[in-house]
Amino acid sequence: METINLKGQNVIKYLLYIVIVFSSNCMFCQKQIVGRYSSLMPNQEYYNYFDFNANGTFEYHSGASLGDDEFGKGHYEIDKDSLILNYDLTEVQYDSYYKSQRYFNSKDSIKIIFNAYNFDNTPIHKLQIYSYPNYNSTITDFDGKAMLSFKKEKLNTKIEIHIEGEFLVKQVICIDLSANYIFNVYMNSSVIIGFGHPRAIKDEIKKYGLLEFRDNSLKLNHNGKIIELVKQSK
Amino acid sequence: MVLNSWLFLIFSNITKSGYSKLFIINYIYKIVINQLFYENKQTNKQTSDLRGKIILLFMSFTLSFMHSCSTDETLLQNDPNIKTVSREQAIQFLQQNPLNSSSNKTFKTTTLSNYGAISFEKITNSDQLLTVIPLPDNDKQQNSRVLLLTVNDTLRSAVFTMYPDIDQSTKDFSGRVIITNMNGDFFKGFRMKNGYLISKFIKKSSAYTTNKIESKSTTAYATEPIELQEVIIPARKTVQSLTVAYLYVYSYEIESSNDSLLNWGFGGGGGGGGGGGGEEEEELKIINQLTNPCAKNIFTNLQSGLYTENPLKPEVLIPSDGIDLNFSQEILKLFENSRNTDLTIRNDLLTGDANASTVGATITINNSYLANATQLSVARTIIHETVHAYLNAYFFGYPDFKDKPFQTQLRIYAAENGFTDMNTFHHNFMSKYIDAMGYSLYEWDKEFGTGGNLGWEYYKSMAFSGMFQTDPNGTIVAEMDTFKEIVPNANDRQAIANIILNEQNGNNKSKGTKCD
Repeated sequence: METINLKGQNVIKYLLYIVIVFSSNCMFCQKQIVGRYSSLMPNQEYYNYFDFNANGTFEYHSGASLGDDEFGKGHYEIDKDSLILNYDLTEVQYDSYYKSQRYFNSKDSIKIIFNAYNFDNTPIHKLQIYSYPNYNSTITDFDGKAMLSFKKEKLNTKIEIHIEGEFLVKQVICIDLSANYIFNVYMNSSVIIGFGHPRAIKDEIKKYGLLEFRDNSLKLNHNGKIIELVKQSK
Repeated sequence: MVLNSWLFLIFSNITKSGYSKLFIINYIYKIVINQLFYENKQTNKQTSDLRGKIILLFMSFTLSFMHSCSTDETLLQNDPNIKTVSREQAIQFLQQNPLNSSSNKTFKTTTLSNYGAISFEKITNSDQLLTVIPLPDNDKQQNSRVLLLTVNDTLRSAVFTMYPDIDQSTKDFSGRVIITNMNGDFFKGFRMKNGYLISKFIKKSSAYTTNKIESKSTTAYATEPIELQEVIIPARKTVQSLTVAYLYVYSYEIESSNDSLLNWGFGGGGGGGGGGGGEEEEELKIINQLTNPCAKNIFTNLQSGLYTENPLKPEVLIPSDGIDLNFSQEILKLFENSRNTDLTIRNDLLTGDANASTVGATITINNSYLANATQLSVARTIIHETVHAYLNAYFFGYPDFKDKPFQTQLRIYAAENGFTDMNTFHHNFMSKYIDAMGYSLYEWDKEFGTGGNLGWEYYKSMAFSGMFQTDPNGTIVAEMDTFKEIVPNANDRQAIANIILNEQNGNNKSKGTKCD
């Protein structure tokens, strides 16, 4: 009789154990997050969102009314009580670039000549070029040509040349005011207005503590900072 | 009857380029025609008609030329009565008809001898040419031309003079336009401001007691041979948005341009439509594509200060002189004055649940935001987004938005602070406009919202939107540096954020009224 009771108690213990084990696992048994989640209140000026897909990939965007400031793409994984975002799929765009030639003479001023093209080698009209900190500015003509001149300075006197356009990737070139330059600048286009491509996050793995996983929200811990991601309608 | 035919020809061709253009030219022509009609009533009817026709023709040529697009395709079509005045005929005419003019109270008679300057302007849809002789003493203060054309075998002439204001803030002409005959007899005059026809000149007369609206100052100009009185034109509202800028294009140091300082803007062939190389005009400079009726109404209300009512004809709106415009209205006016840069506003469902987006000068208000926001919040967002468009326009030097000192200021601000994204740059720079945006919102609320009784701090707080980010609970999680500088206390900043969030969410703590 006692044996039977002991066996019965053992069965209950095992069952309880199994229930506890499974229920604790079930807290994090959902290996997928699907939908759009944001850590910001909707309808304000700024936005951010993660689009989690059923195939284990995600896409991240952050910005405001002028467009994305930052983006990334990769794989996500829920491992025990952690959410791991691996930005391994971000497609990185080419920056603008230039080729330069330098020459020297005894004149008391220097000339900086620009020939501006897009990536299809088409001349860019109205590309904006200016120097900083000693400000001087010009724009390219229909042939993509422009010139700036400066008073010649001693060697190693540097200034920045800023080259930008509305939907072009800005580039800043450092020049020495003791030399003359000829620049062929090649400007890549950008999907957003402003200084360049949105900042691309790549080759980065971010690990968040997964504190809560509900139907409409995730509560994460990142280096002691609690972040709540709320599900949004796409 | 003859005049009516002319009117039909003129107006029918003008309508091709849009109704708003029609209004202004219609208006100018009506002024001319009315005056011609009444002036000539006591003379021989045929002579009157002919004179009216001739002067009207010169006006139409001149205006059409300056109009700088092909709007008059049918104006002179198949009219055998119009013939070019040849160079020899022009020389002979100039030798026989010295030009009388007054300047600084001195009377001067000039026999034009700069025959080398005689030019011929093409007239669209006519194989005849308009003969143009610029006066040799044209300078920055004055630009005159003698226009010649043979009509019904009679050589007709007019002198068209532009007097630019010293302060030309835009490339669109600001100043006076005076039309006289060779004797210097005044025929017609107008005042333009940034391309807008804002008043006309009439001969000053003590008997002048008709029901006219006088401008703030009645001025006689020493440079003109007669005393003139300035009268505000009761123009239609559409005058604001249209083509006066085209009529009197007055290029002024356009960046990367070799245009002369005094530029008639109708070179390049195409009489009645030269210049611009066949460029099509866009009539609407602010394009309201909002389909949300509440947002559409709010935006329309924000534009309201651009016009003032004619007190004698309340149904008539005239362009505001701009003196009393608030910041938001000034921005809208800049876009409306621009003939090359349109401001477009619409609503749509945006990705990412931001309240709005601005790409260049195209503003999109998010439908999901409009579903809950109060009208006060919507007005605030529209003001905020128009500031983005304004900064875009000047930073990238959009056509008609060239202001080198301001562009330089923007560039240096961006370079000094090392901004790498436009959102951060704009929102930090907007700190300079907090009061201006707040006041614009107050003015809107006073007239169209709750009555303007929410207190200055409330309106000012609303202007800080975009300078912080909040989490889903409304707690600030990121802020612009300038926000912290202006409002050093974190609790105060959170209180400001709460005001903005209450209004954007239209909750029971909001003070604005929700859209129905």
